[in-house]
Amino acid sequence: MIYFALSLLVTWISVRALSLPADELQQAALLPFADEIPEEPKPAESGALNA
Amino acid sequence: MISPEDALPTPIYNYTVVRQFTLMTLLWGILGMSMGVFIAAQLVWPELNFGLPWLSFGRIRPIHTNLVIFAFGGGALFATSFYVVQRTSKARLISDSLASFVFWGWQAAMVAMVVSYPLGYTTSKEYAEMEWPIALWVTIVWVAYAYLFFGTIAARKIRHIYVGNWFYGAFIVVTAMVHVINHLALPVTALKSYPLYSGATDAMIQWWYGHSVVGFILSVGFLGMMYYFVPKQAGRPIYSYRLSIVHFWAIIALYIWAGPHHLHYTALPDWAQTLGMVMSVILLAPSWGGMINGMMTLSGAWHKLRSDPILRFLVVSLAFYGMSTFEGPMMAIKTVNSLSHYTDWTIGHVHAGALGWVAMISIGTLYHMVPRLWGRERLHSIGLINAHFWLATIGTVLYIAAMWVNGITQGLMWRAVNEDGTLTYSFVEALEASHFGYVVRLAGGAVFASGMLLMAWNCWRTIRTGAAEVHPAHLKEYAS
Repeated sequence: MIYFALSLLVTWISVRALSLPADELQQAALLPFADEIPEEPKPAESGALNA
Repeated sequence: MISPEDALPTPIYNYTVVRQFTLMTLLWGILGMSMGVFIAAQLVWPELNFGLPWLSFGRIRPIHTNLVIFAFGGGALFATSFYVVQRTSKARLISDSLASFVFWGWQAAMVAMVVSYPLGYTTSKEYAEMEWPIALWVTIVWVAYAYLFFGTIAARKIRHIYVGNWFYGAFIVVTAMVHVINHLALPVTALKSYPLYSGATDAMIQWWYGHSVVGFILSVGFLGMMYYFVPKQAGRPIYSYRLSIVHFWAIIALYIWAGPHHLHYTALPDWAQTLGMVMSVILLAPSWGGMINGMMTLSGAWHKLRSDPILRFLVVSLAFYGMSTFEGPMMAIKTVNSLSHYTDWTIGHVHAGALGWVAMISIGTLYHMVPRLWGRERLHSIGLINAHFWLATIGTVLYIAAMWVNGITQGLMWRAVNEDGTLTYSFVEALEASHFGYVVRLAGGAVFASGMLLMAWNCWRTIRTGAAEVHPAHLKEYAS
């Protein structure tokens, strides 16, 4: 029963994954390459960030 | 000499904890593998226990396994998960003090294990030998780690959660669950407890935990590592992001069921053994989903393997991952298991995963991170990385080939019967037949461990490079 429910869940997620828009997936796949120069901290944030 | 830290404003990312875990990963890796070499030598020359209880194989082996799994492998996962979650979320870890607590807390737990095992304090549960105070402390540190990781995800500055973080997240959640449940025990003294479970139930809980450690620490956690560092080092995005999502959920749904294959032909109910076998066989598909996704990421970039030994580490680790995740389901089939169980084949299989996959991807990843963490242009010596690659590969192959031969020899000798039904060989005869394999295994392990010394030297020289030699691009990255 549990396995059946899990199989349904994984199948549903797989179908959802297969129907995701290509451009969204492409953007997600590029995330490791967008991390070299992170955005500058805003002045209000910098204190908290450096705390 | 001005260090990058002194010369530049505080970086956005908390690299301090990443650097700390990186260094300790190297140190524990050398210690843990050296212990492995030592106990491998004990199996060749039993006199090496010197008649001392705390040097006996039974007490030293858990130090080896716990150090390589939790201190080396765990350290690599802490370091990389903190590195990846910050960079792909574009957010600093939510608390520096908590990060420091996780680092020192984890090191304290590792030291407690190393001290308590030789003294004979053990639950006797494989990979869960730590007695109750240490297990409790590990739980506290782990909850802090989970809070830090998921809190940083929650504070991310971009909408999407990168797939590597999903793998790290699953590793953190499931490890917490199986650790707590398997360690539920009744303390009777300050350093002795008895499990709440008994008999076959205790065995099932133990191997539900044991295989989930394999699945969620040594597979899912390191797949998280793979999903960031393979694309990064190859300079190409992951082959199929869709496949990464599908195989993530498939692996999450399946891995937790595979534990009973450790208990084939025992008092465990037959249906549970069969269920574990079936789930293990099905597990091949999502495991290979990850392997194929990593391998195919190199499409159009295979030529980089000629000149990039770090990428070679990562790709060969994926090859070993593919091989051991084929071998595992095969060994979980009852008929195969009737030959392989309790033999050295199992040890060979474990080390195909531990050395070939876990250690090699960790080594490649650490080589990738070290120059970036310390703001250096590149590692001190590319030649040494190359030498390390060949030592690691040859060491792994020697190790697993010796154990395959030993395992099949032992399995066949143990099951051989004469016409009158008596055993053809005694246990000692099978042990004598294994001796040469133990020598080869010792050589393989020593070769692999010697590569770690090269790595430590190379990383140390890289880190010690003067600030004047720091590459401006990396300084910018570090500072920003």
